[in-house]
Amino acid sequence: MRSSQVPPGELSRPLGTGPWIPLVALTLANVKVLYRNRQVLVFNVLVPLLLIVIFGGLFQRSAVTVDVSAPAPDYPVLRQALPRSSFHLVRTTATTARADVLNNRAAFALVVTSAVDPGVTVRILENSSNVTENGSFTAEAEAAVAGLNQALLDRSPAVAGVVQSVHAPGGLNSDALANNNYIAFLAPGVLAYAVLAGGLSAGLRLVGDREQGTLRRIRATPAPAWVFLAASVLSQLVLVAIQIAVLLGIGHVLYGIGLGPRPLPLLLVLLVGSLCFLAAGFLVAALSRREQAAVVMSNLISLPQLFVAGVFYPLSGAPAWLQKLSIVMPLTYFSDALRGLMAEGQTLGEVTNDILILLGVGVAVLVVAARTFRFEPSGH
Amino acid sequence: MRRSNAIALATTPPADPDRPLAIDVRDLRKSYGPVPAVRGLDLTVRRGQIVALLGPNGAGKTTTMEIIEGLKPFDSGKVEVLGTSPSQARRRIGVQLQEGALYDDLTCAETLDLFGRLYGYQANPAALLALVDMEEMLDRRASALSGGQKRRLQIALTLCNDPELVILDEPTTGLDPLSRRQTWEMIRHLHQQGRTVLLTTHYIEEAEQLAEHVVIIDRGLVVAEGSPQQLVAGLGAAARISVAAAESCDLTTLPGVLRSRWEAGRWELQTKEVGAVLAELGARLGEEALRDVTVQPPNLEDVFLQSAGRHLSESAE
Repeated sequence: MRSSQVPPGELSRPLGTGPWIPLVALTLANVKVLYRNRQVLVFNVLVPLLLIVIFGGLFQRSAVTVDVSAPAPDYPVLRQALPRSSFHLVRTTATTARADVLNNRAAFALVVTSAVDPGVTVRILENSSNVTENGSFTAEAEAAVAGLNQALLDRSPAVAGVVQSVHAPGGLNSDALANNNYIAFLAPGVLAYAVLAGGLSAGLRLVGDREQGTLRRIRATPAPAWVFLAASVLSQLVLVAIQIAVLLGIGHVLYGIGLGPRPLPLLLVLLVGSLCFLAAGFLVAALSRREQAAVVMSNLISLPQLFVAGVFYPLSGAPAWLQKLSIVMPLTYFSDALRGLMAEGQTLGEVTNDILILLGVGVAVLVVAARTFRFEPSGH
Repeated sequence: MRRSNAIALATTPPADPDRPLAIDVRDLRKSYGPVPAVRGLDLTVRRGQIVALLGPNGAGKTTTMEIIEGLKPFDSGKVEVLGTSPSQARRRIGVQLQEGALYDDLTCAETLDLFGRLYGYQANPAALLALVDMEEMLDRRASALSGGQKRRLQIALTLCNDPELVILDEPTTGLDPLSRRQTWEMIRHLHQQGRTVLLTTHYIEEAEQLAEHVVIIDRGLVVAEGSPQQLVAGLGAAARISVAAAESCDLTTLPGVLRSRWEAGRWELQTKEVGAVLAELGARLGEEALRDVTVQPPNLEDVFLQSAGRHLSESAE
């Protein structure tokens, strides 16, 4: 940061009048402040991470040994589909698999055939003498097929399991996902919540900077107001990128969580969601005079959404009043869209409604925030 | 200390009336709702001048400054800064506001670099910090600075865009006496570099020490202005001479003495002819007695007291 281009005795020298110089400088400064602010890291990264790790761990099945027989090209897909933490995979031939099941060396076997393109069929082999265990093995096997369906979502039609009904076209249903692979259900919701919390925390920092007079000092520079806004947006996107990297990175290592088959629509949804909830942060900053008031307001916005918007459980099974309440929560649409793209095989078209709703809410909130936002500390 | 004022003032050249205006404010009015803050204020600052706005809290100093900085709209009147509108002039003004105005989690060097770039300048943090005697604080975060250090960093910030005009709002409030003197040195240094300085203060001594032109503001109006000497002379106030001498050597009759008083072993004499009275004292009491003489020239506090009808130091508390 120490300048080498300004001679030792000289105080400063002109760089130019373009908006890029202040924009880049302010964005980098914001990112530094973010990185150095422990509260941001704890509430926006660590807490969501704990939610994923703890809930993922609580509802995780213990590992079951499975023999898998599949054509070579399908094997990597299977490996990805069946979480290492739940299944201990042994690659083998159909004959050996059958023998392993009969001798109880494996809990069950998946025999995958994909010779007949485009259909993939999975035969689940169970040892009929394991009367007591077979019920749970069947559930495990169905979960395995569900996982396989998820991994193969970008292929169509989906995998047909012999003891498993084929899911409806257009993606898995959330109930089935929550039941069969809870962590895949949970992770997108928690990510959505993390982005919401990040946007609101930007609002808290704004209140602090405003009350200290820092925003005012920035207004006294020739940098236009949009540079300030753009720098806030850009630094917020950096925070979201860090959240995605940490949550999904660790989620991937522990539970095999992935971005899903459509990363570009996923990025679009994340971008729209980030902007929507950053706008909410601006609104909180505009409406509260003190940081404490902003904290209360942020919690009033974020906590109900965390519990009502279907982050932890599928809304289809929730009571009617809860479902109705969830309709007015923007987080519902954000988390639905993320889950649809990451885990349920939905296409951009199927999440367009969610995106439009988020966009609408974001623009409306931003308009109100822009009209009420002040750079001046209260009392001026 | 008081006696050195006269020397400091003598070195400040009087403003050349032909120099162009850096700030031209005419009939400025600004109200907050029904409360008038500035009520028809005129202010002219010539380029290269140091001008002090002196006044109690709530006099309208800060409002006036912030209008000049382009931070606040005004109701009516004319405000021209460096030949243009306040917002157009922003890039060429260095600003120090009263409040904190720092990012707690940035270091001094990063803060100076950031604000330099917000003006489109590359600042030299080491040189700027050296100017306020904080060279060793380059990598210290603002949150770890003392109140006085924060204030000095804010003063260094005013120079990160090599400004023609520097506007300082109470630059030494909250500073210890040593830092205050260093800040004065720095402000004089800015002046020597040809920059124009407008500052507010409620310290009489600061205005006397620094400013070649003092504008006294009260209740949103200019109540008096001029060089400190002019203001004091215009008041026709007398200097105070205090000398240790017995009550018996009656000094009341000394030529040139307007008023006199004896208390606790000292005579206090008020006079407009300090030299003559001192010479007479030497003649009467002997050179020995002059070793314990203090001379207090009439000062701005007296001017303020007369023009605003109250003590500045009281109203500033």
